[in-house]
Amino acid sequence: MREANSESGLGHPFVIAVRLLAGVILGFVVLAIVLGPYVASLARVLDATIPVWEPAGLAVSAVERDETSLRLYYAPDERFAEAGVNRTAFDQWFYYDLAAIGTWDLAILVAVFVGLASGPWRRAVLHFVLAFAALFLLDVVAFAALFRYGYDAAADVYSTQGVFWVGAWMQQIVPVVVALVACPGFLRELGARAERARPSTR
Amino acid sequence: MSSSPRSIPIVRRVPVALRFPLGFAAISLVLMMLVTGPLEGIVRPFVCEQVALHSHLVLQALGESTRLSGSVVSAPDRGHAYQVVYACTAIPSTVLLVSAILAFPASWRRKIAGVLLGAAILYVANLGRLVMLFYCYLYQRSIYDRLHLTVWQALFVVLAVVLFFVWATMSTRVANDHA
Repeated sequence: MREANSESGLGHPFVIAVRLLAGVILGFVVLAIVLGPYVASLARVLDATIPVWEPAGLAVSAVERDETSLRLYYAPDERFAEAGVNRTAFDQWFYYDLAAIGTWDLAILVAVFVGLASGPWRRAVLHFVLAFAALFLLDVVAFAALFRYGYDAAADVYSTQGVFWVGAWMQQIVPVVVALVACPGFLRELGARAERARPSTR
Repeated sequence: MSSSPRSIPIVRRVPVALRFPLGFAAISLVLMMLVTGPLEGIVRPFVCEQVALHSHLVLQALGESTRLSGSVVSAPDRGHAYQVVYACTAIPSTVLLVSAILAFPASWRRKIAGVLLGAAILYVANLGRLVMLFYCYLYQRSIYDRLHLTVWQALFVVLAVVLFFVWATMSTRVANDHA
């Protein structure tokens, strides 16, 4: 991390764009390294807290968990046969590929830090670890909220809106807000820029 | 010209470093509630069909004989079809960008310009993403899911952050030049 020039602690916007894109690449490298343990931990926490978030009147009857996914079965599979539905439990009941959907916020976090952080690197690392922990908790809350409130019992599916909320707001927008808040130097720089520009905003 | 503290609106007395993230989160929450709530019935079919139409036109321009049916684009000779759903549009990234721009202290003229230009760039980039995924499905199916669900999602978020920061920098630079 460095102070780029006297005009700005962050540098030219196109330099920042390049840093952000480099951060994306690094983010995916980090993602590839930590994906397994991260998803396994996420699934383990969700598994352990099922009584807290399972939908009312819809008991989770079975959970399958592996390195990349968490599958929840809300009723015995016999219900398919009783209902005359020719589908497998995998299709019918809830399945979430945590690796694909639940973890891109880590790449976002790395990208924002690499692209926008300034000041001492030790502080950046500390902030990154704290933001990483916050995002993990947010992921747990996001998935639990989806499991708890996103299920449309009448249609027997997870609603598009529920998935969209988790995918779009909880895991794209909120991580950016968390990353920008945690990113050392960014908000100070932003505030300085805004103060300099204030006369023109009236 | 100096201002007494009483003449400064309460919202302006809050430091930008606090006001910006709070405003960003609040505005994005409201926009998401709108596009998934009251406006969902209007926005979703319209945007999905427009995105499908434009990606169909781009693919035709590239020599593909695609067909369009609502929000479904099919290429019978290629044995491939895709449906544009809400998540396939650039709406989440656009909400992100618009929220950040609206939360940033700048003139309304610059905010509107940033919103319109930024949304247009994200829309065009999303068409590029769909076309790229179309060919990826045909020629590199092994990486299609990872590219579709993970890589492009993160890239679009970062693109929105880049666009916001470029806009904020240019906006404040212009303002300083005029001050």
